[in-house]
Amino acid sequence: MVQDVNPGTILMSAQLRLLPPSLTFRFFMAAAVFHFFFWVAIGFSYDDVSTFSGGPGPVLSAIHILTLGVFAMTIMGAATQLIPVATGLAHRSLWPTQIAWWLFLPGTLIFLTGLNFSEQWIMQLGGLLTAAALLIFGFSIADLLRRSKVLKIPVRFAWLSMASLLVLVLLGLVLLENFIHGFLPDHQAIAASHVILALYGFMGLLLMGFSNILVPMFALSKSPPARNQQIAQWLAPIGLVLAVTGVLVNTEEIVGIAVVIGLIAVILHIQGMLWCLNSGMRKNLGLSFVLVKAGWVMLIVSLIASGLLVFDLLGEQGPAIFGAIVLIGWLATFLLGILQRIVPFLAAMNMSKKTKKPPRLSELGDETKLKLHAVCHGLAFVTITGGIASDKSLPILLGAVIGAVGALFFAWYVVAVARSYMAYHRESEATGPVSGD
Amino acid sequence: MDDLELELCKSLHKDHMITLQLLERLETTLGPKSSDLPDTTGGDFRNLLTDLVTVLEAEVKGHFAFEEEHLFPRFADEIDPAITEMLQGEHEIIRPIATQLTDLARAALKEGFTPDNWDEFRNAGLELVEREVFHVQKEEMGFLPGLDEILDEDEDRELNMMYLSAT
Repeated sequence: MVQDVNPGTILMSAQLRLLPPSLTFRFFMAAAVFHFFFWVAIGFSYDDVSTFSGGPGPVLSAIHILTLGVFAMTIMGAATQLIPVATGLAHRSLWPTQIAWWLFLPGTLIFLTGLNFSEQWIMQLGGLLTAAALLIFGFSIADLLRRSKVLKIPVRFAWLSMASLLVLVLLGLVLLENFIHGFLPDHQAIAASHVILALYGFMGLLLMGFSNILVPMFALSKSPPARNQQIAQWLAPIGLVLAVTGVLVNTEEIVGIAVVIGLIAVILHIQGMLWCLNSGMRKNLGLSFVLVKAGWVMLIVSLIASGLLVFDLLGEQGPAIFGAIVLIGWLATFLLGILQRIVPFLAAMNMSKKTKKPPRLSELGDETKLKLHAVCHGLAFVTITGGIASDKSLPILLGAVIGAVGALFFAWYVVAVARSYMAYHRESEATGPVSGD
Repeated sequence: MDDLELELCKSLHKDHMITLQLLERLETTLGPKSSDLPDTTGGDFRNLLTDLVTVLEAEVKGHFAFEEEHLFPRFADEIDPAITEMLQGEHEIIRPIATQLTDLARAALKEGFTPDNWDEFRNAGLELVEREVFHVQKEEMGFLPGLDEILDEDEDRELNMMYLSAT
């Protein structure tokens, strides 16, 4: 089947479509900081993690530090930059992105505070600001997608993701209202739908779309075979709709079918990605792709875990086990792998001045910090999941401490790249023409 | 990075592949830092040095020169001068590193490495790998597809013949 994706357009327009680095980097820096505070929050609530199954409080706050502060923050920065570069289209204005930032950061902080202390009105205020920011972001991305005539497969994945974002934001607001007024007949079902749409809908579909651009770009391969991706593109939303339907009508079998469909979609997608890695000109892709591949494995594991959870086969700690696998094992691992690749790449794309030789990618930050982060991340995940599964609190605390140490290393690296970028531009004002010496 | 139509673009792509395969070998060899000097008298390492001399000389004297003289000006006129400025700048940075590496490789083929020039070779080699991979990435993702769109068949035939004789 003819491939309809053309990542070859990407760098032709890249230089023209680079946004002011301060606009994209603020999202990535914020994500790195929230990443640290996620582990701190888990550490402070370590006694309640393994029995968590919903409801406001410190654990739900910790989860949203990760989902909003790290995942959504990263996605907002990456999508805002990547989609114009990939489609060759400029944002009509950068004001929506600026406004989204200035709503999202304080909104998230207020929301997390309200969630942590179960203060309804603070939760509501923060939730409204955060929702507004996400909707503004969604609409600015939708405008680019609507005008795009290229990259049909990634664009379609992105549309499905934006649709999920719209519904999950509305459900989130409904859940907040329900904390105050208690009008929903089944709060848990709506909450489960919100989770499914957030993780597998908004995040999962967008990452599948982005992967169709980024993996061939970094591996220097052709686009993955279109057929697999097109089938995945049909199956994934069908799986999502069935999963949400299943939880709303409280029918496990429907959710079970949804899980199987989702697994097929994911396996087809990953097969395409592995094709890119195997056929690409660049084989040595470094630590970032170790994390990306680990993320793919954990994505499959998370879907299996979700099926087991629905049929009550994960035990009393089932919800918490599933949470650890899907949030830390899959999404955090995958996103941090991608982030450590695109942060120096974007910095380097903005460092091509005539007056100064640009540093190498490896000189932008000490990559040992990334290795230390990866080790800590893996250990933290295993320790915490083990603690949850055995219903022991101390491993959860230990895992949180290890995770926090890893997050500090990661943040250190991101800050170092930012500092290298700023130093380069300061020094390039004062130096002569580029020399190869 | 999808199917290229023009023969010139396929030739350039093929040379990129050769360069990248060489750089992958170089990176793997230089990867783990060791105090032992490599044996340049035979085996895989000697083959690597020989290939380095051959490929890098063709790259710098043939490939780079051809792009700068025949392709960058056309691309700049019809698509985007900022892209060719960026690529030209990278050529100017990569060229002396490649020359340094070929000189060291040639000397090592005759006399082997000393601790000092092995360090120099290792540092230059790792720098070349990084910069060249990033450069090839940009050419593959943007420059070649762009050329594929602006050149016609007659120009392609002529330029491809010139390129193949230059390299």
